Amino acid sequence: MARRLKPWLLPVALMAALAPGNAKQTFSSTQALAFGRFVAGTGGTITIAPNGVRSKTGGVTLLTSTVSAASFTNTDNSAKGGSATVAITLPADGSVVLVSGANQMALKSFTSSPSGTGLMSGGALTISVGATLTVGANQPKGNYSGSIPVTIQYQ
Amino acid sequence: MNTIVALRHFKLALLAAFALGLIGAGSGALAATTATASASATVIAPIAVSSTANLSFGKFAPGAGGSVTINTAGSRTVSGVIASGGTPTAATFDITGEPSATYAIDTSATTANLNSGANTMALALISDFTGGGATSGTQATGTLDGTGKQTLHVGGVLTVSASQPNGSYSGTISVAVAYN
Repeated sequence: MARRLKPWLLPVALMAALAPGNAKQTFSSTQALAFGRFVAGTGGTITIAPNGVRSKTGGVTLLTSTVSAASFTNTDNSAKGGSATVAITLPADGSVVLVSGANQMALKSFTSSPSGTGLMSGGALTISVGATLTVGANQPKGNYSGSIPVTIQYQ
Repeated sequence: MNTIVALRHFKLALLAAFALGLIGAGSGALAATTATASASATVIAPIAVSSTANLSFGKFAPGAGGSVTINTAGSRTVSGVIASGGTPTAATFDITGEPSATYAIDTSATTANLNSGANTMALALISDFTGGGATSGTQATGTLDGTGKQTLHVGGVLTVSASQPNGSYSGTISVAVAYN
């Protein structure tokens, strides 16, 4: 019985050994979206562009702080994934809120670079994502946090 | 017989391996994948300043002319001028905002002189955060404490001429604060 199974084991073992190198695909976040520190004042909006530049409208006062766009990386070293076209789906307006206790601020106008679709190059694709934060008048102070789901779909 | 069986198994194994390969590639190349990034924002308390005591040079006679100094503790010294009572005090301003935040202080809108009608005496400010009796220097930046407070103590130097007309002189000290 054991002798009959041996021919099975060889190619399966080969596949197992080759699989991680052949069709390994991971998509993960490599940097958080950070709006930094600010005073709410009469309220307004704060936008982080995909290139990480922060801007504001309204009565918000921006303070010197570390800000960043979100960054996602898809790696795929399979033959097909290595140079595939990937559709990028960003969250809908208002579907993501940043929360601090009972208080919250909504995110809208998500943008990405590349936008819409991206082309895998050398088995990797990095997607930068920005958004606009709506700040209420006299928005209560606090550390607000949330999470941004981004979906990719091979074309 | 053994060889035939072995070959048959090997073919099955190849088929299985091929199928596994396709499935493996398929799951990697066609599926939608979602990743999640964290997002953060920090809203800090607004900064505010309020006047809690006025700067008063008290009463004095011009004498030979010179200056009157109120240090940041509110004590008066004179040079060439004859002090004659009154209630000298230093000004205080309470600043409130985000704990441990740093901020800039702008006193540039302070009146250059104390005025009584058309008569003037030049005013120069002195400030510190301790009320420790400084007689020179001003603070341009501050750091709020762990509860988000700091007090700016403001004294001044008044320049008095020997022929300074009598009168009640007044002006305005302006303290504006903004986060750095």
